[in-house]
Amino acid sequence: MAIRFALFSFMLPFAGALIVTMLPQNSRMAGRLATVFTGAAMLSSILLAFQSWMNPTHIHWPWFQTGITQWSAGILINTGSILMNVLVMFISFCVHLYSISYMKNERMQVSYYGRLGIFTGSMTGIVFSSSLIQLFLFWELVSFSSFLLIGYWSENPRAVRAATSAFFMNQIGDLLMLSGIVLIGIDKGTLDLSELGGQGTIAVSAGLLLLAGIMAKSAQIPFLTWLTNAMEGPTPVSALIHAATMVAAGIYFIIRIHLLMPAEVLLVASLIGCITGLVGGLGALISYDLKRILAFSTISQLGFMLIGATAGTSGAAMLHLYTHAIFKALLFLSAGVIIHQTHEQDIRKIGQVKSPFLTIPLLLGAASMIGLPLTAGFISKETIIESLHNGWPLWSAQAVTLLTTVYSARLIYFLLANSSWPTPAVKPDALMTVPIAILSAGCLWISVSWSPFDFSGALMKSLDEIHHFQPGMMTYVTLGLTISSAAAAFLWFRRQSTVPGFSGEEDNFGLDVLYRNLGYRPLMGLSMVAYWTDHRLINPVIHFIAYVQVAWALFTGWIDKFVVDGIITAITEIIIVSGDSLRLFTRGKIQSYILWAFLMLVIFIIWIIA
Amino acid sequence: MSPDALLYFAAWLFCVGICLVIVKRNTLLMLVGTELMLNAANVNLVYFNSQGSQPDGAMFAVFVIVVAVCEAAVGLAIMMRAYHFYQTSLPDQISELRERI
Repeated sequence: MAIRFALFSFMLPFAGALIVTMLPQNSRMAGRLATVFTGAAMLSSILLAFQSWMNPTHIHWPWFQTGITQWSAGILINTGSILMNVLVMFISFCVHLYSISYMKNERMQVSYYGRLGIFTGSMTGIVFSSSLIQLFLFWELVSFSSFLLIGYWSENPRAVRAATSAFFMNQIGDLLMLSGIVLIGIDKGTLDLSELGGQGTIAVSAGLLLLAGIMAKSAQIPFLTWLTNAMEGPTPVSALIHAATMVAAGIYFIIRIHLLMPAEVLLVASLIGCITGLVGGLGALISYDLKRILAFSTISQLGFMLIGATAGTSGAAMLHLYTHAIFKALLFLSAGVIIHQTHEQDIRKIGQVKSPFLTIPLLLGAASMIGLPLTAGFISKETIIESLHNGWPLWSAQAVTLLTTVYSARLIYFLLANSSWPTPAVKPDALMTVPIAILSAGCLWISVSWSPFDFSGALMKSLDEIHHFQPGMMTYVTLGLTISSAAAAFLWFRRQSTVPGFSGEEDNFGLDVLYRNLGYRPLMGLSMVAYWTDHRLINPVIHFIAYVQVAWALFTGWIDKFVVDGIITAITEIIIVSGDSLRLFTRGKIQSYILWAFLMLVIFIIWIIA
Repeated sequence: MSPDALLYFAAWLFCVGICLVIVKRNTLLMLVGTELMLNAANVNLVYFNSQGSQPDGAMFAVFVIVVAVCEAAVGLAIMMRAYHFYQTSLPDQISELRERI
């Protein structure tokens, strides 16, 4: 029964995408139909949660065979995957609902909802896959649908470039990850997650290769530029894919396999998480573009989650993944309203937003991101910090928290409190208000725990049954740091006449140029060298060999035609001529028979007489 | 008349007959050729009869004439049927049993 609900929530988005793509391209029905399908998928994911919460299920069946090794595919349902599935479906449903209004003036409605459906289904595939190779297939599908959605406005060359770069960066990571999977398959003889679980940790090399795939998908350093460039896509897509779910897939994956990872790989991963968290936070602090600020903040939060998953406990990271998905989707959807109505993304030019339908969600989302008490983000962030023991992961997590506070304060201050500007009349319409309101409610502590100060509340208790977290010394340190730095930031921003920051986010503060010079240019040079070698050195040799072969073939062909065939033709000619001459006696002419008979008679008589 | 001349005449008659049979395209003239060959034989029979005392050679010649009449009648009848069937009396054009190449 549980399996059936899992299959429903996997198949329904795909079915919706299939049916939607049969509609005419600018059909008004597409959005509503896709929303109904996603709603049904969400319903079955919630039913699955009721059915098998705290009741892990694993089924697998043989898939294909290489040599004597049998590889299996299957469905692995545990608390983490149920939570992730509900989350994906919930955010996807909100985004579908929001898109009906946001995308209503677009021409390619059908492609948009088809691509969203493919993405949602593939994401469910990642969530439930029990075999690494099966997971990899959906991992690729997610990259592909993300590519399609970033490049949705294909008439905009920046969007096309962003889509291509995102796809290529993901492909680099995916290739490394595939080699890691192959290494594990050779080493362990199985790729099934639950079977691998009983075989101890995987090799360090395989672990590092898997980590590379995770880093590319979750936009960790050095892959982070694709995520900020992906902001060229529509804002609902950014909310669903590039903030809440797809980029979290890497974190989800490492949470799912962290028991298999050797300690060295976990160390490297937490180091990368620290660097990414800090770099992302700095990027968010100095950008002007509203969506890029949110993208950098996503990168920073993903780094924070990676620290939590590798240096702390995976349950805490999963909890933060959940709360982050909700508040970041909320922030993106609220930002989408502003962008949709003012056609402006630069926080220096937007001015002051006054509608309570936007200010309250923005404040709630930011509060949850900063981690103020009574929010869900407070609980998850403090749980991660509590789960970290002393040492550099803890202090970098604190630094990331500090940066988060300052850039959130900057964003909120210059969007909501900076009154030097005439206010644009932005207000979400009804269809946009509903998902924003639902997500705002999700930012409150009640979505995680009954008590706002019990870290091992309802959700955490099921995610991590071993550890028990309570507010401790570090919680108060972090809280004090957060509140004082927020206050200091507000005071400092009040005295600024312009928005502090650096322009240059268009090329990610030089990172794009760096990658172009370090990666793209040498690769192009290498390919030119390879082309030249191929063209000038290898081709002549091959051409010469080809000419020799053709000449030899012509010669043997001539021999065949005139010598071998000639002999055979001569033999047949001889046979034909002799046959014809023999047949002269029996041409069917009565008189010639008579003549020959008479001659024979004469010869016979002569022979008798003689 | 020397007896040798009669034999030579018979031989000449036979040769004319066989030449007619072999050379002529028309069935009718081939039949005429066979009549000539039979009559050449009759000339021989009559000549050899005159050399002995009994008239058995002449009797045999009479039988040959009877047979020749029958043969001519049957031959003409076959020719008529063949002409009806094939719409021709030329043996070269009657070639149903001939191998087709």
